[in-house]
Amino acid sequence: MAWALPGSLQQASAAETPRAKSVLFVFLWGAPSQLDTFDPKPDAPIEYRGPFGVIPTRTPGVHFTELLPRMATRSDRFTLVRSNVAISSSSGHPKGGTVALTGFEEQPEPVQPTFGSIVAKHRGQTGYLPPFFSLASGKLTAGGEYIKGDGGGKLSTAHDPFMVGCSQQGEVDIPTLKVLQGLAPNRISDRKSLLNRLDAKRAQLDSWASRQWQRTYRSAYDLLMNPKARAALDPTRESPATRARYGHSQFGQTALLARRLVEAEVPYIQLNYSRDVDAFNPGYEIGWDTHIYNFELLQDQLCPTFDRAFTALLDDLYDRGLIDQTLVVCKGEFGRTPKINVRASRDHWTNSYFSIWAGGGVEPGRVIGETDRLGQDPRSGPIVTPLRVGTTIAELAGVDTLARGEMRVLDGGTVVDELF
Amino acid sequence: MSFFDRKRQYLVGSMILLLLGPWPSCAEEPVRLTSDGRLKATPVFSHDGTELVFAVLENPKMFRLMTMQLADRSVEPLRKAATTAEFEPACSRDGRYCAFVRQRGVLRLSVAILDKQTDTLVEVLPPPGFAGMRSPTFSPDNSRVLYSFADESRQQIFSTDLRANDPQKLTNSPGINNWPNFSPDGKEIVFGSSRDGNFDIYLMQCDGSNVQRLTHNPVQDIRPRFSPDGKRIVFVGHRHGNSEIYVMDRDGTNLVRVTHHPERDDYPDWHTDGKQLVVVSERGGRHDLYLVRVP
Repeated sequence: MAWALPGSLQQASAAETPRAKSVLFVFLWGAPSQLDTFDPKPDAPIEYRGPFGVIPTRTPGVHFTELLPRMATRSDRFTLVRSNVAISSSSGHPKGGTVALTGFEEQPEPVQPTFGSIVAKHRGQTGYLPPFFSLASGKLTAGGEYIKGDGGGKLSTAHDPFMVGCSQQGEVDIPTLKVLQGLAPNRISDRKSLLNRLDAKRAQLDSWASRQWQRTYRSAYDLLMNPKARAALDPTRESPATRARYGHSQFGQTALLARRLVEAEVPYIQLNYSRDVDAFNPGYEIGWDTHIYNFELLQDQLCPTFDRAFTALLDDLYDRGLIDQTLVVCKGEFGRTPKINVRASRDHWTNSYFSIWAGGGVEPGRVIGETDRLGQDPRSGPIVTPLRVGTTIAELAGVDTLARGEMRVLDGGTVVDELF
Repeated sequence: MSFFDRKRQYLVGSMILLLLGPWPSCAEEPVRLTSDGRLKATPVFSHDGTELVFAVLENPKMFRLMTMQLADRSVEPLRKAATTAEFEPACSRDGRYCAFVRQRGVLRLSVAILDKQTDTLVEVLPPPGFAGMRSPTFSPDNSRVLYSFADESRQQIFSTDLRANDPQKLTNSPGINNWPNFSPDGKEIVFGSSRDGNFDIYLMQCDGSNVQRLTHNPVQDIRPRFSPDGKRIVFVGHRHGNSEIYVMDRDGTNLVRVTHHPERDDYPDWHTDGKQLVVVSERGGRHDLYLVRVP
């Protein structure tokens, strides 16, 4: 069912209840291939089309590749945008990641705040949980280099995300507390013991670091001492059947953790598929950056894991009646080259890629935007830039034009009206 | 290897399979070999059918090769010293060598050939930059290793000797060519290719000549492997909506569906008795090894 008209969106007051109590931003860090997933081109020449067959979806006339059978049977639960465009001067990962998460390039400094920080600043912490979670085993990297635009940026580090990792067994860890070996929220039972461990660690720090410790670790400590917070952060409390639906992968169990945070009405949750972009990078999980063996990686691991976990997440949000109050946005930082590269794989491509939108008033079951016969450029529909993605997210989360102006963020951005 | 050696392999392997019992009353019921549920891939039987070598996602950052003794199902790392991902193992017929894909850096993969007798490792190294090899497999006479490698926007099948010398390109087609596997007599190679559009199964002579297409399916057929007697080929297909195991005769006829489950069944390999397959099956979101009888 369609929600309000775009016009009323623009006029909504920040004081009103936001349409999206929670935003769930699923970040496919590394950039999935659009041609091999949601925008196949089976009639393109062999040097473009890739080796996968296509399957029909629930949406008449729309096909995905054979790697996404669960998504295909649920295409009536989301809307697919095929006309996303990134910024060509930021076609590398750290810079492209900043664009995807802030809407702007890294320069000029200070870097702009990520969408989650904007929502977090506007909404503030109202419950027992921080307003902005980023779910990964550590700060996002590309080949070991940190992404700059994944935090508060010019709004201050006070609006950085609270980072939480989750293993394939569903065990949660908090990277800022990694110094406390073996600490996990579902293992905290002794307040005195935790305090002693924190104090012992703090004593090892100099005065500046100690002040930082006070701010960062105090919030983590408060979180861990709150039974409700600990419960929200413990996906192992779910039934075995629910956990199985998401799959016992790191992404699957982290997606389940994300749903628990939606239930707890956290305003913004960024669910990262992986911490690092690279598909083969020693010491990191497998990400979507498939410069070699794109097709094998997609069919063997990336797509089966995503297809299972993301559809379980969607189903769960629908089944629990959470979808209307939650905006789900899923995308990478850009796409991959329609023309197959010299290594029989695909490189970075900023001219066109996809995004998936569900809930929050988005009218589902549609495809918005169309690319040309080779999948190289949008040929119809709205051009959806990262800035427009961020503006639409902010608007639905209650950060209206006035609020954005006061914060001096997302300047020049417009809502993607075609979604509603 | 003599006829008697092969016969002995068959008998030993069959006895171990019997020891794995009790077999369920329903012949089609798979036998679960692992229960940890971690992501697994590419199990292969050893030359005598007494052990399995497979890759397991030990943690989200590391694929490690493991060996399982079928007699007691004990599992241990193939190479405890491995510090980067290793996967896609292959075992030589004489039991002396094991080949696998080894991660050498960011987006760099080699094919490593381990001589278990001397504990030495040689590698087919990728060229500089992002590059790598996949899907090693041995020739039946243990003299060469086939692998897949991307070259000039196409992915071709190559062979090398066991010292990683004398590389030879066997295919020269558009698209992706992968998952090569020798016939038991060493005369033919079955493989998957997208040369005609999507992935299907093809057969060629061991020198790359006389390519024949065996399957014609609008969705993928991949990972073919010859049965020990060379009469049948197992492969993975999407023709029933998800990843399932199928067997057909070596000429592409008499297709039989082996697995029937809404979750994923993948990575089949024949036991030396030719009656069982090991597969990786996803059940309840967990991935484990199963023995499946071939209809």
